[in-house]
Amino acid sequence: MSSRRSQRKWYTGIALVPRTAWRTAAAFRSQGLGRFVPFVLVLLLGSAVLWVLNTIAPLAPFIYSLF
Amino acid sequence: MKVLGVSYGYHDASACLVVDGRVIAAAAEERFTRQKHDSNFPTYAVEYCLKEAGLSPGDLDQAVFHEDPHAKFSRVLCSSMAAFPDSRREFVESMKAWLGRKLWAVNAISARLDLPPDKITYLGHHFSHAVQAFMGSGFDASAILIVDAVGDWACSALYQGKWVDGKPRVERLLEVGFPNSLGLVYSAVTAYLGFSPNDSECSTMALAAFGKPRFAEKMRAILAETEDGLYQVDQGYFNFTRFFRGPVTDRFLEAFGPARSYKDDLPFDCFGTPAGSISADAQRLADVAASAQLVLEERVLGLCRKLHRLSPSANLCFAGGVSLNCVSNYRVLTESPFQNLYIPPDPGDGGTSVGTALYYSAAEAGGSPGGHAYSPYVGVQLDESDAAALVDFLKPDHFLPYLKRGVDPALGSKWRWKTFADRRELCAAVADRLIRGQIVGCLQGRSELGPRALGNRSILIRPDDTKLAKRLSAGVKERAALRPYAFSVTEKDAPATLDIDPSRIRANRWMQYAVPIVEAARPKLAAALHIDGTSRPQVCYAEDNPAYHELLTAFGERFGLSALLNTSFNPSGYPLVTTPVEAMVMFARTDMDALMLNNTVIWKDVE
Repeated sequence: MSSRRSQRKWYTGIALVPRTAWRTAAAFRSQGLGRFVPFVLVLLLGSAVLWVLNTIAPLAPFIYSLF
Repeated sequence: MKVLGVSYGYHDASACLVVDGRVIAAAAEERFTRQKHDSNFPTYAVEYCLKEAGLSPGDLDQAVFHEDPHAKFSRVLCSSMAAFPDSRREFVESMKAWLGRKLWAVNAISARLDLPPDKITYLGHHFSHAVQAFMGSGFDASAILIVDAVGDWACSALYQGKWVDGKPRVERLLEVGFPNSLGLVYSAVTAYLGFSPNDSECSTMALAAFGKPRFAEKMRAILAETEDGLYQVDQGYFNFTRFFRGPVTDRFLEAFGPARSYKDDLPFDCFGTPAGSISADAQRLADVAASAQLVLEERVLGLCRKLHRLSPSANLCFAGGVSLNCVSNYRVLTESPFQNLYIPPDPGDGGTSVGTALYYSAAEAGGSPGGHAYSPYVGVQLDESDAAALVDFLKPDHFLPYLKRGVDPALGSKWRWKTFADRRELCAAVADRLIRGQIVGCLQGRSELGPRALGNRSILIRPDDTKLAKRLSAGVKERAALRPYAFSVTEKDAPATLDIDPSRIRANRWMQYAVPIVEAARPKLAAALHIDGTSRPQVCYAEDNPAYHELLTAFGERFGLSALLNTSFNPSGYPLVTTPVEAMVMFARTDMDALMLNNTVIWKDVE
C-alpha cells in the first residue's frame, strides 16, 4: 500500500511505544488492577529491549523466533 | 468523510470503507488469502476497499480499530496470572503474542497505512459490536444485546442506542465479565463433541436436533441463571485460562461422559438416519449437544428479558458470535419481549469493521437512523471479462491431476460455454439445468459480507431431491450428513413455505434463523430440511439482489415454487470463493455440472 503523501513521521513507531505503555497502565488502573502495573512495565521494558535488538539485522532471526 | 474500519488479531480479520456515511466496500481478509477465519492484518481487504473507491491511504480521514488492545491485554494478563502456576504455559504463549504483536495494533495500523497516530482510533470490542448492530438497523432507538466468546473484559453486554441531534448515542447498561461466557462454553462443548471450536459451532447446533436434552439440568447448574437475571459459569468444568489442558475439565467428563475424537463416526443424517445405526454413545453426544443448545437459548432469552427491563424498547439489535446461532435467533425473534429484531449481515468479529467505520463517520459528521443501512453485497465485484477470457485459457486437462477423489475424469473431459446477452434467456437456461437435477455453481455480482452465501457465491440445486443433495455433499462439499442445507425463496413464495408470523418474514433476508417449514411445503423442500422440520431460509427480495431474484423466479415457473437449495460456494475447510479462477478450480475438481459466471454458463460435456 502506498500513500499519496506520507503523513507518518519517522519517529512515530518509537513514540507510540511509550504511549502504548502509558495507555496499557491506564487500562490496568481503570480495571482496579493497579498492582499489576509494575509487572506490566517490566514486561513492556523487556519487550522494548527485544524490539530494539530486533532492529539489528544479524540478531533479528534470534529475537524474532522468540515471538 | 472517509473512514476505514479495521478488525484483526483474533479471528475473521476484515476491513470496511465508509464514505460520507455509506458503506462503499467491505470484505474479510480470508476471501483474499484463502485461509478460513484469517486473523492477520487485513492487507488485501484494505487494499480492495481503497481501490473500490479510488483512494489511497493518505486520503483517509480516520482509521478505526475494533477493540481496545490495552484493555484486552489487561484481561489476558490477569486471567493467565490468576491460574498461575498451572497456567504458566498459557502465560508464556499469551505474552509472546501480546508483547510481540497484538499490543501494538495502533503502531501496526499506522505503519501499514502510513498514517499518523492521531488518525487512528479504537473502540472497545463490545462497543464495536454494539454499534455494528445498531448502525445498520434503521431503528431510531433500540436495545442492543451483544453475546460472544470474549472481547476485552466483557463476554455479554447490554447496551441501548438512540439518535440524538443527528448523531448516534450508544450507552452501555451492564456487562457480564470474563470468564462467564456463553460463547466460550458453547465452543468448549463443540470441542468436546469432536468439532473444531471457533469454526464448527454449526455442527453442534445441527447435532442438537438429533438429541434429547436429558442433560439440561446438569447444564443449567453449570450455566446458572443468577437472581439478577444474568448468568454465571461454573469454572470447575472448563479450562478457559488453561487452554493447553483441553477445553473441558475431568469434572465435565465425569458429568457427561468421555469426549469424542474428531475421527469417531457420527452416523446421524438429516435426511433420515437408518434405524439401529446409532450407538448409545453417539446418542449421548447428541443429547449433550441438545442440552447445551437448550440452555444457551434459555440464557440468551434471559438476557433479552433483562435487557427489556432496563431498556423497554420495541426494537432489539443483536450481534456477537452467538448471534450466528440460528436456532437461538429464532427463539429470540419469536419469544423475546421485543417486537422487531435486527441482526447485521455479518454479526461476528468480521462485521465490526463495518460498524466502527459507520459509527465514527456518523458521530463526527452526523447521520440519520435510516441513512446507514447496508446489504451484505459489498464485497469484490466479479469481472466477467476476466471470466470469459479464462474459459478460453483454462482447459479441463489442467485440472485432471487434481480431481477430487471419486470424481469420474470423463465428466470433466470437455467444457462448453455460452455467454448470454439477454438476462432472461440466461435465467431460463440455468433454471432448465436446475430442474433437470444438475448441480450449478453461481458466481455473480459482488461477494457477500459474512459467512452466508446469499446468491452471489452459491451452489444451487433443486430443493426437493435428497439424492442430489447427497451427491452434492459427497462429490462437491465434503459435508457431514448431519448438517442440513439451507434454501432461498422469493418473498412472494415465502408465506407458503415458512411457518412464521408474516410480519417476521422480512427478518429472514440474510439466512439467520432456523424456521419451521409449513407441512405442505416440506416435500418440495425435502433436501433443505433438517430432521426437526426446520430450515434456514433466505427470503430474497428483488431490491436486495435482482439477479438472484430473477433466477429464483425463472426456476419457480418450472418447479411451482420459487425456491432453490442454496449452499456456500467453497471447498470444505476454505472460505467462499472470490474470483472466477477459484470458482473454476472448484468446478473442475468436483462433481459440479455447470457454473454460472454472471452471464456466462460453463458446463461439462459428458457426450
